[in-house]
Amino acid sequence: MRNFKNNPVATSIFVLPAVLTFSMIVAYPLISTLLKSFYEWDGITAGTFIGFGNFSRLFKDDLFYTSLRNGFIFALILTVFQLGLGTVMALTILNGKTFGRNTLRRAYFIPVVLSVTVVCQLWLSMYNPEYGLFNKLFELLGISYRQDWLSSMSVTSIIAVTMVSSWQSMGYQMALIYAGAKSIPEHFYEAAKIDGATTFQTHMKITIPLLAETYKICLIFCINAGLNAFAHMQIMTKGGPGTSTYTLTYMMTRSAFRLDEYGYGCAIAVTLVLQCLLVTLIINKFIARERLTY
Amino acid sequence: MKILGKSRSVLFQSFLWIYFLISLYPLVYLLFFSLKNNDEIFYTNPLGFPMHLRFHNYVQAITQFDIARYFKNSLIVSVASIVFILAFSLMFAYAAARLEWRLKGATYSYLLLGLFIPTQVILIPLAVLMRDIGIANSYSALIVPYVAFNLSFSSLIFYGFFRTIPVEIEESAYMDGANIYRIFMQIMLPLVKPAVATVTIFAFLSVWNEFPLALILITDQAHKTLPTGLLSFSGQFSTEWGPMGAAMVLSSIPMIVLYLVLGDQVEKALTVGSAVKG
Amino acid sequence: MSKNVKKSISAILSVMLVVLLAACGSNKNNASSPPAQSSEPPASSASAKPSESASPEAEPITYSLQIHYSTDDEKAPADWAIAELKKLYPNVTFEITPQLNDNGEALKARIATGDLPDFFNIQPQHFDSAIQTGSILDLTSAWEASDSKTKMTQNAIDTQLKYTDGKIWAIPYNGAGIDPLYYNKKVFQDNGVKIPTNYPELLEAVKAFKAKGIVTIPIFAKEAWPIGAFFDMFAMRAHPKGMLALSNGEIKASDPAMADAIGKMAELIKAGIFQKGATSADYDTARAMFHQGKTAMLINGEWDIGEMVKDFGADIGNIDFMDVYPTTDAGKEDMNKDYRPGAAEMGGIAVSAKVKNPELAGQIAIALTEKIAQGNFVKAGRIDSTFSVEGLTSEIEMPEMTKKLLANKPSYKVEGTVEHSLPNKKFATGFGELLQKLVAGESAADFIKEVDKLQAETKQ
Repeated sequence: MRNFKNNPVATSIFVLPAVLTFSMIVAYPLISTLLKSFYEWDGITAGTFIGFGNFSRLFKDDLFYTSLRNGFIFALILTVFQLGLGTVMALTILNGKTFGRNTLRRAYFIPVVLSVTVVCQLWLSMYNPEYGLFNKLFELLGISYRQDWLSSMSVTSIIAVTMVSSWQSMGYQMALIYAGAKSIPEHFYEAAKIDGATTFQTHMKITIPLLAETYKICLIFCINAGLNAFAHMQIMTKGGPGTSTYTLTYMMTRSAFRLDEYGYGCAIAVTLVLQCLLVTLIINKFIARERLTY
Repeated sequence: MKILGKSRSVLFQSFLWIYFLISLYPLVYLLFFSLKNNDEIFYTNPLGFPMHLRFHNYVQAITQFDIARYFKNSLIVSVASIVFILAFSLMFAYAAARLEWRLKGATYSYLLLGLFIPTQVILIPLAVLMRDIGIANSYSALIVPYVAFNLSFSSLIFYGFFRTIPVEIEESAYMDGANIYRIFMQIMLPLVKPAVATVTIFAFLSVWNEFPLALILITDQAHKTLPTGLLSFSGQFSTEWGPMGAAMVLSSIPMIVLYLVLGDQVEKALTVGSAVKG
Repeated sequence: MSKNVKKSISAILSVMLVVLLAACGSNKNNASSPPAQSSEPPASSASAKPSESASPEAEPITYSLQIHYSTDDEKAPADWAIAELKKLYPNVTFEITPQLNDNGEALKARIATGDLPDFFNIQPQHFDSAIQTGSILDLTSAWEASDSKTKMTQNAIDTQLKYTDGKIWAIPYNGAGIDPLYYNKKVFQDNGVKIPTNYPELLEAVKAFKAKGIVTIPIFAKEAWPIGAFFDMFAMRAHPKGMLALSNGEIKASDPAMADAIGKMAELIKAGIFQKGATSADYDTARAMFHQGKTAMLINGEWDIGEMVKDFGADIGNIDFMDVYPTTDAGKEDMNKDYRPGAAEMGGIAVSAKVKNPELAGQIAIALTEKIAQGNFVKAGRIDSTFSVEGLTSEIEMPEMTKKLLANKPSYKVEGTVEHSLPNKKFATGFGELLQKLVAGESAADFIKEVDKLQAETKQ
C-alpha cells in the first residue's frame, strides 16, 4: 500500500539535482574554508598549518566577544520586533473585518522589496543628530532627550542599526505568518465561535499554537539573520564607531580582506557557522516537531 | 466597557495606518531622492520634497549609466535562477517530506546548512571554483551559486507546506493508479501553489538585490547586474547620489510589480485553499 | 499513462540539467580561451622587437583597463589621457571598466583567481599578494626603456616608484599630496570669530561657533583617514612622522609630547569641533556641509580644491587653507610647522602578467600613466602629477589656493603617510578604529592606553 513512497529511482531524481548543486557550490567551498581555518594563511600564497592556533587566538580576541554580543543583540531585537509585530500585523490583516486590509497587506511588505542601500540612506538621514527626524520629533515634543544614535560607543549604535534591519524585513515574517495562518482550515475555529471566545482569545488558543512550524522557520530566520548581520552596518557605520557595531561576519571580512589574515577569517567563519547550527538545533529541540495534519 | 473597547480600536486603527505610512515613506523618500542633488540629499533637505525637480538625474541614469544592459542581465540571471530554484527545491522538499528513503533526515539537515552560511564565508574559494570549472564571467557564474544558495530556504518552506497536506490525498491517488511522478506533478504541486508564489517572491528578492557574489564573480562589464552596476556611480571620492537614486527607482520597479502581482496571487490561492479545506 | 508522465518528468529534468551543464560547458570553452591566448605572448614577444611593437601599422589590439571612471570629474581626465595615448599608439583601443569603490575586495579576489584586467589601478596594500602570485608584470625593464622616464618628477622617482624589493610594479600618477585644513573666511567674519593661529585660539573658536550652533569641522569619520589627518595635524608637531612613528614604534602615545597632542584633540572633540554623528558621515555629507558655506573648516586632500572652485563659484575667494595648523600652544607655533599630513603613495597603473604582448603593454602602461597624470592637471587642475606638465595648460583656471599651494609646497615636508597606507596593516586597522572612538568621545587617557596596547600587540 505505502510502497509507492519507497521508490529509490524517483527519490534519486527528486533529490540529486538539489543535493549535487548544493554540494558543489556551498559545501565544497565550505570544507575548504574549514580546512583553511587550521592554517595561517593570507588567502593567496601557501599557508602554514597551525592546528587550533587561529581558534585559541580567536577566543582571546576582545573583538570576537564584541562581535558575538552584537550578533546576539541583533538576533534578539530582530526576533522580538519581527515576530511580535509580524504576528500582530498578520493576524490583523487576516481578519476580514479590518478596514483596508489588502492595502495594508501590500504596504507592509514594501520595505522588504527596496534595496538595502536606499533604506540605509533614509535611516542615516532620520538618525542624523543635527537634522534627523528622531531628534526633531523629541524637540517638538519638548523632550530634551537627544541622541547621537549611530555614533555612540554604547549599545545604542548597534540597537539603532538593528532597528533598521528589523523594520525593513518585518514584512517578510509577516508574510510567512500570514500564509501559515491563512492555511488553517475553518473548522478549527468552529468550537471557539460557539464558545463565544474573543478574537484575541481565539488566536492565542488556536491560531498561534497551530503555527508552531511556521514560527520555527521564522525564528530560525531571525536568529540567523541577526548572527550573520552585515549589510546594514557595512553601509551605515562601517562597523564603527571603533568596533561598536561589529558582528562576526563583519569581523571575518575585516580579517580576510583588510588584514590579509584569511586563515583567521576562516576560523571566524567556522565559529559563526557552528554557532548558527547550535542555535538552530536548540530551536528544533524546543519547538515541537509533531506532524501537523489538518 | 464598550467605549473603552471602541477607543482601543481607534487607537489600534491609527497605529495600523501610521505604520502604513512608515512603510510607504521609503518609497516616497526614494522618489524625492532621485530628483535631488547631493547637497539636498545630505544636508539642506534630506527628507522633504525636492526644491528643484531634477529630472535630469533620470536622463543621466539612462544615458550614462548602462541601465538597459544591467537590467537585461539582472532579468536573465533572476529568471533563470528562479526556475531552477523552484524545480530543484520542490522536488527535494517533496522527497524529504513525503517519500521514504535512507538518510532522509541527514540529507535534509545537510541541505539546511545553507541557511547558516553567509556568502562572505566562502567567497574566495567559490571564486576559485568558478574559475576552475570555467564559468567565471558568464551568467552561469551567478545563476549556479544563486540556485545553490537559495535551495535551503526554499526547501524549508516547501517542506513545511508538503507536510501539512493530508496523506490520504496521496494514498487515494495511488489507489486510483497514479504513480509517484504523477502524484507529484498533478496532485501535490497544485496544492502548494501559494508556497510557490511566496518562494518566488523571496527568491527573486534575494537574487535581484544580491551584491557580494555579484561583485566578486562577475568582473566584466557585459555580465554585470544592477546592484554592482549601481556601484559605478560611486567615484573614488564622491558619489552621484541623484542619478543613482534615479537608477534605484527604475531597478525597484520590477520587484514592486512582481510583489504586487504575486502577492495577490498568494492571497487568492490561500483563500481558495482554505475554503476548500474548510 | 503513468509511464508517460514518468518519461516526461525525466525528460524535463534531463533538459534542465543539460541546459545547466551546457551553460557551464559552453562557457568553459570561452573561459579557457584566455589562458590559451596568454600562453601565446611569450612566443610572439620573443620574436617581436620592442621597436616594432610601437609601430603605427601594427595590428589593432584591445586592452581592458580598470581605472577610476565613475563621476564626470573622473571621466574627463581619463578620456583626455586615452585620446592622447591614441596619438602615440593608434592601433591600441581600451575597454574601460570603472574601478569600484569596494575597499579593494573585488581586486583581492581577482588576484586570488588570477583574473585581472590587462591594465589596472593598484593600491599599495595589494602589492604583496599580486607579486607573490606572479599576477602582475615587472615593469622595471620597460621603465628603463621608456621615453617617459625622464619626465617623472625626482620626488616621485625617489619615493613612489620602486617597491621595497627594488622593482617597479606599478607606475604612480598622483604624486605627494598633503591634507590641508581649509577654512571659510566668511563664516569666521560673519560670526565675529578670530581665525586661529594656535591651539588656545582654535579651542576658543570652536566654543564660539558651538555657542552659535555652527559646526567647526564637518568630518567624514565613517572613514578613518580624515581622522588620521586630523590626528597628524597635532601629532606631527610632537614627532615629524606623526602616526607613522606610532606604527613603527618610534614613539609611544603615552610619551609626554604625544600625550599632550592627544589631550588637545580630545579636548577639542569634547568642545564640539566635529558635527554630531560624525562616525556615520561620508565625504558627500561633509562636502555638502562645507561647500554650502555652513561650516567653518574642512579637513580633506588637496584634490578638493577643484571641487570647491566648482561649488563656490564666485565666492571661492572666501576659502583658504591654514599656512600653519593651529594645533600648538601659544608661543610654540613654529615647532615642526612644515610637517604636513598626507602621503606620497605607492601604487598606480599595473599590468596583468597575462597581458597580450607584454613588451608593448609595458610601454603603454608607462605612457598611459603619464597621460593620466597630465590629464588630472589639464582637466581637473590638479598639481600633484608625478610627471612633468611642461608645455600643457590646465583648462581649469588656477585658483589662488592652488597657486599658494604650489608656492609653498617646496617647503612642506611629508614624512608620514595616510592611515590606510601605514605599512603595519594590523596597527593601521586597529588604530583607525581607535580614532573613531576618539571622535565618538572616548577620553584621552583611555585612547592613549589603548594605542599603547595596540602598538605592543602589533609590533612587527
